[in-house]
Formats: sequence, C-alpha cells, structure tokens
Amino acid sequence: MTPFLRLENISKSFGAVRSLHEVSFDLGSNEILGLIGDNGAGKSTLIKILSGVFPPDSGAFSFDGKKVNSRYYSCAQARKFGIETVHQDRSLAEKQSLWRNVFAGRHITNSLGFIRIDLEKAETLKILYDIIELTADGLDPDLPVSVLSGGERQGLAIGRAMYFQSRLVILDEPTTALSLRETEKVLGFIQKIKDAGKSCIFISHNIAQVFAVADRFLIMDRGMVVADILKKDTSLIGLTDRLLSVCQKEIPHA
Amino acid sequence: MKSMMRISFMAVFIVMASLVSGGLVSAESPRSGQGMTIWFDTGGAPGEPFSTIVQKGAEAAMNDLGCDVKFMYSDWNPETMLVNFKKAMAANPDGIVVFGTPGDPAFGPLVDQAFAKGIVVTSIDTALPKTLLQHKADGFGFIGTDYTTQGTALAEEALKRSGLKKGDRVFVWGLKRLPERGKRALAIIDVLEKAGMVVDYQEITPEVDKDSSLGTAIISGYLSSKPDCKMMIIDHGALTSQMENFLKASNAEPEKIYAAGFSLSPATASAIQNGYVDLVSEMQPYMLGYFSVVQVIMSKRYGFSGFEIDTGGGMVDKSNIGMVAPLAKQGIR
Amino acid sequence: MHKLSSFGKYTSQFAISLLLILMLIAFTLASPATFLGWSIYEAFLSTIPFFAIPALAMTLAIVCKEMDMCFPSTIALGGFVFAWLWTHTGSLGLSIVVGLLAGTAVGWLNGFIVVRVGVPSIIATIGTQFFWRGVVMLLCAGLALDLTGIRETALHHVFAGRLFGVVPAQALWAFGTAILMWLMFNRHVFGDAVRFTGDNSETALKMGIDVDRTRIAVFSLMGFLCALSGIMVCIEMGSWWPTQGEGYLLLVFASVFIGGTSAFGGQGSIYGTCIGATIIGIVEAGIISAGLSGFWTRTFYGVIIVTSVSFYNILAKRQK
Repeated sequence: MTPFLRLENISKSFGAVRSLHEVSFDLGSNEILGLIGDNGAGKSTLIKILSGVFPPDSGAFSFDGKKVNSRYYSCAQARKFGIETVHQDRSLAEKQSLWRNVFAGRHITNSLGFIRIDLEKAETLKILYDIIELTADGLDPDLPVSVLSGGERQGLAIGRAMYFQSRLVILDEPTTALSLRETEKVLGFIQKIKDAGKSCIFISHNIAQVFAVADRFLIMDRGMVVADILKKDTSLIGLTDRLLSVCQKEIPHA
Repeated sequence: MKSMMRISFMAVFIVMASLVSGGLVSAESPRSGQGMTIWFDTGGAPGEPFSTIVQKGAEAAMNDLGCDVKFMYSDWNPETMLVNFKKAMAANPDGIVVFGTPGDPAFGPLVDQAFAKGIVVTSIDTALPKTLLQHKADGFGFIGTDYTTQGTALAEEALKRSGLKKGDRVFVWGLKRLPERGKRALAIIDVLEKAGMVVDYQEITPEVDKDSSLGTAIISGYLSSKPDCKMMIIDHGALTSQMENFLKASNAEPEKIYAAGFSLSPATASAIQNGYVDLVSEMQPYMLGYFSVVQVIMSKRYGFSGFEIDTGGGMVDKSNIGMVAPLAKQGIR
Repeated sequence: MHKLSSFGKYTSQFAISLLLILMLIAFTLASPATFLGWSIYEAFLSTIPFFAIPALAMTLAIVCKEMDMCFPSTIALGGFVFAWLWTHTGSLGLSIVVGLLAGTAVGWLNGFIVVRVGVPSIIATIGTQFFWRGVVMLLCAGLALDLTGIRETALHHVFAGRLFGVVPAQALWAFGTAILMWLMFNRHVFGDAVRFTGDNSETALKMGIDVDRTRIAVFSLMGFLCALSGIMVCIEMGSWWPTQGEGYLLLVFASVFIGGTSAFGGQGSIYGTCIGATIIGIVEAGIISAGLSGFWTRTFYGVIIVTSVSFYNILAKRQK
C-alpha cells in the first residue's frame, strides 16, 4: 500500500551549515507522527520544505505515490495537496478578522472576484462552534484574531485546516506559549484530527505531550533521522531516555 | 453796550457753530475702504522676505483706508494660487489681489467669474496682459514692472558701471521657465550677448527657489570651475540677498566680481554695504501691496478703472544704501 | 468578553465624521456669509478631489505597509504626457489613455524596484520622486504647457464640467473612485490580499497569497490614479505646470492618517480617507474666512493630525 507521504533522502544546506542530511521516512494516511529532537535538529527546515516555503537541495517526496516537482511546489501548492501548517504565532494575521483569516487565499468568490462575505462568515461561525466548540455567546466573525486567547487561536488554525479537508496538519510547537488548560484544548484538537481520519506531524519539546497523542515518534538529531519508534513499542520513560542519549552523543567526525 | 454784547454773542455763536459743524463733518467723512473686504494672495510662503514686504504694504493700505484684508499664501505654486482664488471668490469679498504667475489661459475664466459676481480683481508683480485688456475698465489693473524693461535696465546699468569688456564671462542665474517672469532673465541674457559677453546661464531649480540656502554649493561649484567669471547677475530676490554668504563660502574676492540682482532685504542691504553686491534693481514690493489695495478699493467704490503702475524704478547701490538700509530692516524696502 | 457592539466596530468612523461636522458648524458660525452659500462648497468640490484621489490609492499602499513618496512626480508626469499629446494631436481621448498608461508604468516601475530589487519603499520612492520630476523638467524644458481650447472639447465636460451647472465633475469622479476602492478594499480578494500582506507578509505567503504580485499591483494602481488626478487638474485649469503635484505630498498623507489608517499596516479605512481629505481641504478657507490669519493654517493641520492619530491609537489599545 502506497504511504500517504514518502520522503526519500531529503537534504538541505544553508551555506556551510548542513541542516538536513538524507532524511527518509513514510507517513500513513491516519497517523499522528511526533517529531522530536533538540534545537537545530532540522525539524523546522523539514516542515518548511513540506509546506512549500523552499525546496530541498536534493532528494524527493511524494504524496500517494506521486512525486512532487520541487520547482513548482509552493505554499499555495502545498495547500492544494492538503498540507496545512500551524505555527506558534504565524498562522493567523492578528489584526484581521476571524472570517478573513479562515478564508484568506481561498475565498469563496463570485465571477468578478468579489467575496461572498455572508457565506464566509456563516462558515466561520460553524468552525468556531462545531469544530473548536467555543461556547461564548454572540461570537462575531468580524472580530480581529487578537481577541482570541492563544489556545483558541491554535484551535482556529487547526479548525481551518480541518474545514478545508487538509490531509496532513503539521503542528510546529503549538503549545509552547500556552497555559495548561489551553494546552489540553490543543491536544484535544489533535485527537479530533485523528478521529477525522487525517494525518498529523506534531513537533514539540514536551515529550509528555507528544507521547500522549502521537502514534509514532521520529527522533531527529543534527539533520538526520536517528530513531523511528512506534508508540506501542515504547513507554514515556523509554522514549525520554532514548532522546537524552541521542542528544548526548558525540558529533561523529567526518 | 448792548450791541457789543450782541456782537460778542454772535461771534461766540459763529465760532461754536463752526467748531461743532467742523467736528460733525470730520466725524462724518469715512475712510475710503470702510466696511470693505479684500482677499490678498501674497504669492509665496508665510514669512518669506519678498511676500512679507508685499504684505506689509498691503497692511499699511488696510490701516490707512480702513478696510479689511485677508492674506493667503501660495508657495509660488500656480495651482495653489488658482485654488486660493476660488476659495476667495466663494467668500464674496469686495476685491481680490493676485499674482499673475498662473498666466492668462488659467486665470482668465476665473477672473471673468469674479467680475460677474461684482468682485474687483487686480494683479501685481506678473502681468496678465489678455485679462488686463478685457477687464481694465472694470477695475483690473497691474502694479509691478515690465520684466523685459527691468531686466534690460539692470543688465545695461551693470555693464556700464562694471566696465566689463567684450568676451568677459558673466554668470546669470534665472527663472527662464516661468511664462511672464522669465522675460526678465531673457532680457538680461539678450543684453549681455549683444554686448559680446560670454554668458553662463543656470536655471534656478524649484528647491533653490523655495530655499535659498541650497544655493551655496551651486555658486561655489561654478566659481571654482570658472574662476575668470567677472560678473554675476541673480534674477531672484532671495538669492540676491544670500550673495554675501555664497561668495564668502566660495572664498571669492568681492572686488573681483560685480554682483547685481533684484529686490531688497536686510541681508541684501548688508551685502551692498560690505561690497558683495554692487547693484540691485528693485520692484519696490511694498508699493505692490499698497497700491493694489488702494486701487481695488477705489475701483469698487467709485468705479474707477484699473491702473497700470510701474514700480520698477528703484536702483540701489552703495551710494544710496545708507538711506534705504534701515527701511529694509523694517520690511518696507 | 468577545462581543464588540456596532458602535465599537465603527467608532473611528463615527469620530472622524463628528469632527468634520463640528468643524463645519464652527466655520459656519464664524462666517455664515461664506459657509451658508453654495460657492465655497463648489470651490471645495472642485479642488479636494485632486488630492483625494491619490489619497485613496495611498490608503491601500499604507495598509500594504508600503510608502509611496513618488506620487507628486507621477501626477506631474501623467499630466505632462497628457498635456503634451493633446497640444500635438488634439485628441483628448488618446491623450488621456496614454497619460494614464504613463502613470501606471511609473507606478509599476516603483513596484518593481521595491519588490524585485528589494529596496525599502520609502527610500526607493524618494529616489524616483526626484528622478521623474527631473525627467519632466528636461522634457518640458522648464516651461508650462498652455491648454487653451481644452475647455471647448466635448470630453472636457465629462472630466471638469459642472453637472446641472453646479456640481463639479471631478467630485463625481472622486466619489466614484472612492466607491470602487471601498468595494475593492472590503469585498474583493485583492483587498484581502493587501490587508494580509500589510499585516504580516510571512503569514500571507503561507496562506497562499501572492505577496509580490499584490505589492506591485498596489504601486501600479497608485500610478494610475495619480495620472488620473494630474489629467483632471490639466483639464480643470486649462494649463499644465512643471510644479504640478508638488503641493500634495503632505495633504495626501494627512488625509490618510487623519482618516484612521494605521501606519503599522494591515488596517485602513477608505471612508476615513475621504473624510480626512475633506477636513484638510476645508481648514484653510475656514480659518481665513473666520478672520484668523493664514499663518494659523499649519498649526491647525498639526493639531488635527496629532489629535486624530492619538485618538486612533488609544482606541486601538482599548480594543486589545
């Protein structure tokens, strides 16, 4: 069975710094992958390539068996493939309204390019109530994103991804600035992604959080994949030990 | 005895009556501009030397005639002058005084509209020949000078007094690009070329036009590249006033260069006294302000026609600067 | 907690409209003869549109976090191309079209320098302002162009005539432009792209918005509307001067910022710019009619600008 996403020998350097070195792995179509590793491991670079920010220097990746042409791959293209990335703080434009943030770049328009605002506002309310399950009364989709709390913003970004039927939601350190209660909410959203039959790559420094929701763990260190473990084959303590030992390893001399 | 008393009583009565009636009469005769309003476009920016003298002249007329004058500013921008004119018209004053800088094609229709509304318009400094022809009888006049005559007079006088010979180098800094105003620069160049001088002409840029301090580098640069320049004629009031600074900054020797220009100001007076500027022709802008207000009041009140008054007679040099300098300080000359 | 009443959403628009109304009332009380008659309003309606139209384009630019200092020269160039062509061909239609194209091209070039070459917009456009003003000076040899006879052409009535004998045509053009810009800014995908690009260009990129194309389009639009303004001035005044556009620099920025558009990008108001332009346009005539000397004009501008911008900032802080 062809995997949903396959990476083959992806490499990327920035000047003299080798950010990724021959990274390869598969991702299933309903799998939550926890991507963990120390700072500088290459996690950010990897997801930037997947979301179309820049192309790899070498190697390739494919969706459903179809190879992606990195020359034409862009953020817009990534979205079309069904890949959405949720960052700590760059997924939403704070000053803009909720409905604009949901539909930016893929508005429902008439033939002249004018947005069907009423429709979009209604859909936004649906997302807020049904998917994120906000309970506040009289929520106004015209409000700017800045009125939402951190957890609610992540919720909106994830909810947006799910609304647009994204097949892969990449979460880059989504809970770092959040309170405990908000973090619980976000983990709940990730569970919803799984329930909806989609895939997710979840990056975090917090092993406990990753362990709670992921099915599989990928440990990266200095641009390479050094461990690929299924949840059922390990425990939280085991995973933590494994990660520590990786980080404390000597740099192999070339 | 009784007749003596009668005569003295009569005398007292006559004296009292004449005093009283004299008092009544003088109390009755109003000033010519009483109750009238004029909108006056001073042409330049607020606080600028030339416009300020014009404004002072107008204010003097305002006080003498008892009318009200409202002042507008245009930064020497023709479009702004036209916009100001429209706003002035809307206030329905008795008269409007304008600079003719925007030219006949643009101003003509607006002046027609004003006269149709019963507003007397007159022009100063730069002429509007076609409009003058059309509306002189209605009260449209021109106070100023003929630029060609003024330019020619200055150039000829400068040549006479400086003793330059054929083939000598002369620097002319002027505003050829402006329609009427440019005639002065053209006249100067004409006189100089006919006399066989080598003329280096430089157009005054809009930036320098508005801010004279920017001219220093241009003068320094010119004089260092052409050290044989014997005469400089500056077709611009504010720049003439800065010649002392410019020449000092260029390390030029004032005796070696005959500098002539236009308009007076405290700085120009000082430059003349110190020998940096040798000759100045001035349009006596105080009178531009004064005469124009008088003329508008008279035309509006009594239906007099417009008047063409040439104020360009003033030539100032070291010999008469003594009298003129203190007036320049007060912004009168 | 999440609710913002209608008043809250439109507070800034209410406030600026209130300011305009108060100013009109004050001016009318101070000089009823002037402000109760029609002529002053005709004067306003025939002159404010000339800088209001570039201000509308500038609103979009500032929302997009760009600054265009080149526009006075764009106005002059568009006006010059139009005037020169008209005096040489007599065809009003052709001159207008080519004039508009010239302005759009200048705008596009500004966009290219900023987006493809990467020079910050304020610096690039200060440079191009000088450059194009110089080009215009060289082309016209410093002389104005006389457009006598333009008032007799048929199209003159369309651009600078008086509807019903009283309403200046340019006011209708400005009004129409404002409506179109409002629709574009609030209801169209392009306006949406401008907002996001100005709010956070990285986020906008990730959302699939073509940030580069949006920015270049904003500059091109500015060029187009500036040329339109320059052409209308020529038709109204019957003349073109090399100084065209020079007086508008501060008026345009004042109109935009008084109207509530944020200098930080991402937010703006077309309605606000319209009111801002009107406020700026009536100040000088109002205070002179009231009897104050024209020296007060700049003081008034300053007070209005600082007060309104402070108000908007305080409002924004409260809404956070």
